[in-house]
Amino acid sequence: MDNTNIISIADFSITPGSRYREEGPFSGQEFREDILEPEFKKTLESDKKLIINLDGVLGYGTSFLEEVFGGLARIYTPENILKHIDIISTEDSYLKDDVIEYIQNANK
Amino acid sequence: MSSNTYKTLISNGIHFITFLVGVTIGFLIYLYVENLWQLKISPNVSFQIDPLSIISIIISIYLAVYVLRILNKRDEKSRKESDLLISYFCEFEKDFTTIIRQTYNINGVILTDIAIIMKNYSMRIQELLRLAIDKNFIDEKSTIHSEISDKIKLLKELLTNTPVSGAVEDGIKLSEGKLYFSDKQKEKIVSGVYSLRSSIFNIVSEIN
Repeated sequence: MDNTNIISIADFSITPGSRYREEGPFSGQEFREDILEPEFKKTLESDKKLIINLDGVLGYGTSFLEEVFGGLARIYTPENILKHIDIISTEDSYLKDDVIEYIQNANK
Repeated sequence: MSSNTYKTLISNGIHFITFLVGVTIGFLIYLYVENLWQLKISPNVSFQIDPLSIISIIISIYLAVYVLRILNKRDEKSRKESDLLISYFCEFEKDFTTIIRQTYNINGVILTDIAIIMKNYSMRIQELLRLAIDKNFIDEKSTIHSEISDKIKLLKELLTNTPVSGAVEDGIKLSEGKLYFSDKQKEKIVSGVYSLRSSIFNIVSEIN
């Protein structure tokens, strides 16, 4: 039985933008609201794990990642996020720790 | 004492002991066969040539020199590897600091461009660190990975972390996809670059 759901940010854009929609296309807010939050809600309801793949993107700005993951944690709490998501980042292994930090520090 | 200094001492010690062993074996062979065979050339004016003692001396010298050459070749190979790795780190440091200086000095640099640069250099330094660990120049348990990771993360934040709405920032402004850095932010970036260079210097010292 498949208990995971996978989202790849590269499918959204290989050149993610900044933090907010008004700052330009492919923003963190756009990704979080339009793609990540609906999937995360499904994950919570079905008690599955949501896997987010960071590979395949040319580069991330800090504000994009912070808005995606920190923003999600500000809505659902860091504990809930860390319990239900996994991060894949094989190209740049430093990113995984960065994302976890954004989640943990979301409300600080 | 760094691991490389320790390795060099061990290596030199092994060389010396090997040389002593070679000479000792030769001498022992000489002592053992000394009485077995002596060649007299003439009854009146005689001198004794002990061929086996000559052979044993030759063998011991050959053995000592041969083994030393093998060990020196291994040391030379290790030296070449460490020099090459150091050159990779120095090249990284030079390229990275140059491009970051160019980036923050441009008025209105495109955010995605900086993001791409930072990812490329982050991957590059991670590969170099992996190589240094695989070649045993850096201990796998070393904290250098987390040290470098923190510094790369800090620089990326200084360069690409645009403000949360409502926050009063005197750092980065984003306008039409382009970033503008205040003088204060530039100072922080310079400091961040210097800190990373310092860590790379420590890595190079450890490899050397």
